Amino acid sequence: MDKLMNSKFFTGIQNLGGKMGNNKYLQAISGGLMGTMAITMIGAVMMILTSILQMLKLITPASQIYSTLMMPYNMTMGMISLYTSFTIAYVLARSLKINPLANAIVSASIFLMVAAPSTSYKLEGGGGISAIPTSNLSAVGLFTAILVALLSVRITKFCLDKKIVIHLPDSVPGFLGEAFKSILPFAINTILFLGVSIAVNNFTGMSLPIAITTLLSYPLQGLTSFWGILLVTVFALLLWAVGIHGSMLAYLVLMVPYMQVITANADLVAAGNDPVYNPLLLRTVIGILGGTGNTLALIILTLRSKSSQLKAVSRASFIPGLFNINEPAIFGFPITYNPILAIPFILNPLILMVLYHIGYAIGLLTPPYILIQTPLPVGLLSFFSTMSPINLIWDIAMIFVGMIIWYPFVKTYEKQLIDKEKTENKQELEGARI
Amino acid sequence: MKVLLICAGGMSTSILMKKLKTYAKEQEMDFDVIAKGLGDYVDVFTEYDVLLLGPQVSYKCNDIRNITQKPVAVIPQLDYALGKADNIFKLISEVMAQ
Repeated sequence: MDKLMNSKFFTGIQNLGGKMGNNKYLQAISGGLMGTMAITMIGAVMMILTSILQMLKLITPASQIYSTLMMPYNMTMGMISLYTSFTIAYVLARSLKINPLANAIVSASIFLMVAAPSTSYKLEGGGGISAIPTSNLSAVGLFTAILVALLSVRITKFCLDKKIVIHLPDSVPGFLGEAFKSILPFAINTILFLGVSIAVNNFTGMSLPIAITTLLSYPLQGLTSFWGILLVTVFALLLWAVGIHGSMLAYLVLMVPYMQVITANADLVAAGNDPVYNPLLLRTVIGILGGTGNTLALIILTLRSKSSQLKAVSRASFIPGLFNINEPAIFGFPITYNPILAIPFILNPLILMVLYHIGYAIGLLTPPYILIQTPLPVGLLSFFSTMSPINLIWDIAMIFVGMIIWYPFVKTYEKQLIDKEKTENKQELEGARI
Repeated sequence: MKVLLICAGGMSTSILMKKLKTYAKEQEMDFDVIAKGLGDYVDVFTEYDVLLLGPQVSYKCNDIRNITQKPVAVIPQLDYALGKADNIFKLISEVMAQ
């Protein structure tokens, strides 16, 4: 078994995973996306509240209170790309050891310029209004936000390295000198991005965010299809099997399109339509029941195990598991470098994904339309993102399906451990006698 | 003594953090510990004596050692999973002694 885990294939995966985990740009994207958690949380709470009132038939989309309640959602989730362009630039600048705040502001303002240029309108009956279109500031513009954040910080870093900055004499106070330093890189960034944006606009007739999303949709089509998601999931789980935090990777690849699908569903629901299913919604099934690999089933199976190791680990990991945190389980049983448990660890999310896919296809499950990034106890994510009790019951039923998948592997492993523990006890006893 | 625990998001190590604190209190040790994610440990590490990594981010060990120039160690899997505070304190004193 050790041979298998030390084979070229697994060491290759480990190296690749390590490299990706160490990459500053990928880290900045995931760090920046996670940095918006508080904002998406507020958006989700308002959306849930509105949904409940709507279900109770207390309000309709036409009522005044509806738009009052949805306003915080529109200002949070509806502008998620703007915040993301800020947070990603902040995290990247910090890791490149240049001024995070200055870079974050530059990135956000450039993103606004290319994604939501302001226009003046004449109002009927005189007067005028200056307005910015917000449609590209929602999840639609996320790819552009990421691109602007990474490139603008990179360009600023380049300018600073090559000393393309305005230097003030040393007699000028430090903070003023710092402020002046960011002027020239900002100007260069602005000219570059605006130039590209205007060119794209004139040649394609599309705004830059729409053009980028359209362009990326071709290569992403494969990855975000049903089979693509299964593939990304297998890869992430293989990484965990060699002890590397693999969910981060799946998060990076799938999170942005996933957010776009959910916010598009939110728009549908707000307009009084049903949310639609997309295979991307299966993304969460990788670890919806007890954390990555859906280990809650494994924990339940071993709570009363005769092996003292299994029992100790499952008791220690039960409560974190209820909150979908399962590092204690992954490293305790262990699942890493342990093929007997790694097989069902990889297998069960895949089987469950097929079952969820069927559940959505036959219309039993409601597709999620509320984006929740905060970790929630098992079942509640499905419930609060869809407001459907059936999704909650389905989750619980899937824990039992998971138990069936884990069972034969757990029993084999348990038997091995019990035998080992017996011989160890015997040796200890004999040792004591001598 | 001040220890910084690092994992991917700072969530699973916070479970361990509580266990270490309770243990230190029982032993009446002068001890402070905090859990941080890979994204934000750089902000605070200067205030800590030892950095301990969760096994899921063990691949960052050399990197973090180079960046921080502090004693860094990876917590063994089983100690991490079961929160074996006594073993982890042994690890801390070993790393500090180096």
